[in-house]
Amino acid sequence: MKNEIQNIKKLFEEDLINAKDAASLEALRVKYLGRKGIIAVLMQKLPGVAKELKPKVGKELNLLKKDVEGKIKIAQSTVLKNAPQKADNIDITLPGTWKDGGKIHPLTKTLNEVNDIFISLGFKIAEGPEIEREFYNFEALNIPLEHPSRDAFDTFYIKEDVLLRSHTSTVQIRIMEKTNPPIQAIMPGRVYRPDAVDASHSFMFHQVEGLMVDKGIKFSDLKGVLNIFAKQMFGEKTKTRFRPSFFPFTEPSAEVDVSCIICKGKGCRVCSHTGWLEILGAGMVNPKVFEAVGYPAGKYTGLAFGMGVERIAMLKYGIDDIRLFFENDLRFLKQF
Amino acid sequence: MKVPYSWLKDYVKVNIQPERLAHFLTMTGTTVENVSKIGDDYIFEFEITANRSDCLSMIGVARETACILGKKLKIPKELQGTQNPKSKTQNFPIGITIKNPDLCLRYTARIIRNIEVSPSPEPLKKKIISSGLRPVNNIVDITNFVLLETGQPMHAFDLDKIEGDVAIRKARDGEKIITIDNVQRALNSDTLVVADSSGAIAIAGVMGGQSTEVTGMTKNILLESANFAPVSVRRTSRALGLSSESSYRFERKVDNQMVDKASGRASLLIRDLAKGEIGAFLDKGAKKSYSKTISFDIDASNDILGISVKKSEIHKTLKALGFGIKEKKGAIAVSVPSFRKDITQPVDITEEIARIHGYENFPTTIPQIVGNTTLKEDIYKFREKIRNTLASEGLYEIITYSLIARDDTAGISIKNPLSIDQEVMRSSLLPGALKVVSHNLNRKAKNIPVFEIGNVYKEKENAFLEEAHISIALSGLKRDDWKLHGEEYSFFDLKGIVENLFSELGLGSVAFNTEEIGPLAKSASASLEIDGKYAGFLGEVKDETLDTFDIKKKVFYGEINLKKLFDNARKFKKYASLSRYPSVERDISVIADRHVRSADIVSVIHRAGERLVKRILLVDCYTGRQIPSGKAGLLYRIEYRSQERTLEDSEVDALHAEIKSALSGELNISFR
Repeated sequence: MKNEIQNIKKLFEEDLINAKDAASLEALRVKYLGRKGIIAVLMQKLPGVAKELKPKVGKELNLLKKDVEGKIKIAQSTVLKNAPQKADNIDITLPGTWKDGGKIHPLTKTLNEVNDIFISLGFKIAEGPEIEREFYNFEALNIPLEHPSRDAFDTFYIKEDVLLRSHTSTVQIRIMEKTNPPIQAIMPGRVYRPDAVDASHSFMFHQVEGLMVDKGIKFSDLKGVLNIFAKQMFGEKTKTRFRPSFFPFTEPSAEVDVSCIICKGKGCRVCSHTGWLEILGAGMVNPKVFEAVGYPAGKYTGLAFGMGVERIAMLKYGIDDIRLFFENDLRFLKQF
Repeated sequence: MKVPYSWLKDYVKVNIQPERLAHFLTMTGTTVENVSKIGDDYIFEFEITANRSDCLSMIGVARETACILGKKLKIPKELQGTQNPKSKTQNFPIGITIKNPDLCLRYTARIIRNIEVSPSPEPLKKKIISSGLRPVNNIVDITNFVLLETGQPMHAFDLDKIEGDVAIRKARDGEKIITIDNVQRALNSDTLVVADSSGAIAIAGVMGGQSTEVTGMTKNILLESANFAPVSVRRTSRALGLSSESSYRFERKVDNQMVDKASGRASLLIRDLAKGEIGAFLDKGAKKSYSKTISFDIDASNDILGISVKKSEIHKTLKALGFGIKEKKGAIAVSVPSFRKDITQPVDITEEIARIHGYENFPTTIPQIVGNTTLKEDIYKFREKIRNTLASEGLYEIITYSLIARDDTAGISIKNPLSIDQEVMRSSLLPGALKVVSHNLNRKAKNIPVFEIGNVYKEKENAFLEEAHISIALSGLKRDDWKLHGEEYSFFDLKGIVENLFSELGLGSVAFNTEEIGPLAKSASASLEIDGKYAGFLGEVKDETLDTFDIKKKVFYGEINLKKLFDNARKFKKYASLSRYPSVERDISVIADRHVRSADIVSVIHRAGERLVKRILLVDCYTGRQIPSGKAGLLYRIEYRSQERTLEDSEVDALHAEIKSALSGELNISFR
């Protein structure tokens, strides 16, 4: 038995010298250490060994096994280290085969960007119903019945007094009715107008409304807030321009332009060669709106603004057809 | 509105380039859309906001121009001061009665006799044409000229064709009139008309009638200059689908004080250009004063703006815009000119000061953050989490219209839809999702995994409900590349996505129950319960439904009520400690009747092996030759583990045997 062990040891050393690659080392491992390998067979013979020799032989057998295991391991790692990995093993230019990525819709992405900027300025998100009463869409916002200022707000009706909101300014009223100042909120949401669908019109689109009400809010604050927004949304070098305008629910009112993000203000097709893009309506909350929500006269001032999410997304990504957002062609969605 | 530069210069001396003037006007709120050079003139195209009816006139635009350039506004004499030419109301040849003084606020009429109707002289013609109107004859052109100059609409009737007395009254239902555009129009009792004894001869404030139209034969005219109530004109104009230069201005309110002056201006022009003899004048409904005073606090105004505009600048601006100023202690009293109907409160005056000062000259300040805690935005964050989870599962977010074509699901109807494709509000996200699947299949997409988070709309006991739902649709090949060819989606891919989502959201007990759901195929249709309450459904969409969208592939679809998830989601997850001891795995290969559900088997295993069973994994599921018919073979891997110690083989073997006997006893299961 002892001789057998010695012989096996010698035999293994010779085999080891000849085993020069991973495959032959694996064959060697199976030959000696496999379940039916040489050492296993020897182990099975152990019960037949004379009682007094058993501990010694057993010990040697174990030593042999450890020795073989250790040497094979070392040889394997040497082979691994030395064997140059052949460049033609795999063609790493073959396409990757992981599943498709999945994407968030470009409108959601744009909306999230807008929201995040205002959240960082301390605004909270609030939402209101899409199916609204006339009061919230019109009267409370100082848009009287049968007034030409309603022309800008053609509206889908469900029944008398119930309509699909045509702007998110409705949520201003909803919040102020329930909340006393200070208020600092943005109100994203879906709005509807009976416009025939074409490349630049949709009967459904998204807006973000902003509202800040407290004692002492000023028109210059409105400029400050929207300046920060424009720079964060469209780049540090973006300029803003405030033009007087008219919205029934703000006084003074302004249209806000940003320097064209395509041509950087030099003038191009997108900005109709003016260098400016109109992206926001804004103003100081009209005291008549405060009156409608029951705030005490003269106590508070507020700033408000609103923008179209589709328009911003179209400018930002250079999308030329609003219908693409709602068609959901995967070739479109995969680009964002 | 179109304003010829040459005409504008009749009222104000302009010494800058037209483009520069356009820029200044735009930046002070009188928006110029476009300036174009036509011949030796420039045409300004204005977009006048609904509040500034005063700028729907040459004089209004000239006033703005004079104010921003610091020039004097030159207004023709007869438009200033008192009525000119003077004439008496006695001996007016016909009776004129206002039946509805709430709709006809003021009505003036003037008789002009022995006119000579002829084409207008060239300069007048040119003004009319370059303002975008069509010259007709000297009488009509003069009324249009005065309309454009002052914003006061006018109408000339052929006096000799008026029968009997005139009344301004509501039309009778079914009453008809042929307007000067040669269209017969049916009127109703909402319409205000000017009528003689034969019937309506004009739609008040909108358009005149053909029967009394001024023609080449006309000798004597009745010149109407009136002020009709905006709401009435607007309603009529909308009902008839008829808008005119007159109705457009009346809708936006015209200057009550201009009514008689404009009439005087036109009369003198008719005298000069058509040799008319100015006769009797009648003025009904005129008030003594149309002025209005607002007490104005300069400091409060500056506070709102965030800048201190000097008192002298405020005075200068307001005066140039036609306001009067009286200083009182502390505040000033500002009298508002009658043409500025939009100015009703102090802040309206603040806006006048701000816009003329120039918004670009205001500082930018950062307000103190006033944020408040009463607004809750948890649901918004929750939606973001769902979006991110589903996108990371490889799904594409879609956004579809909430108005859809009428289908068999009851939706809220739109009263005034634009098209039959947008007639009802969706009550499920399914039609939108299938439309997207169909669209993409038609464009040869092979793999369509999409989701949407959107509202559905329901009417319940006269209340309108908006519920946020999540939809998931899978169609086509799950993966198809050079390593894995054409594996199609199955119900279990959908279920897996839903399970992963629920795990991410920390939802408690979720059950999938076999249940027939309307749009789903019987073979794969399940309802979803969270803590025993219905929360949605998932399965394979049935062929009839797919047919209506012309889809020839299988579609797996699930729709879940977001609120139910939100209400049940665990906001904070709790960590379970990890065992330090190894687990032991044992496979169990069962042959069960087909009607025995996997969930039943798993629950028996859990119960029987409660002490040590930590996890049960289905490794294989097969039917076929080795399995008797009506049976299914299922291979489960059970993981046994203790938190306290290393398990002994014998102990696991014993429990495994107990589980087996429970399975065969309770579910009639045999083993392979």
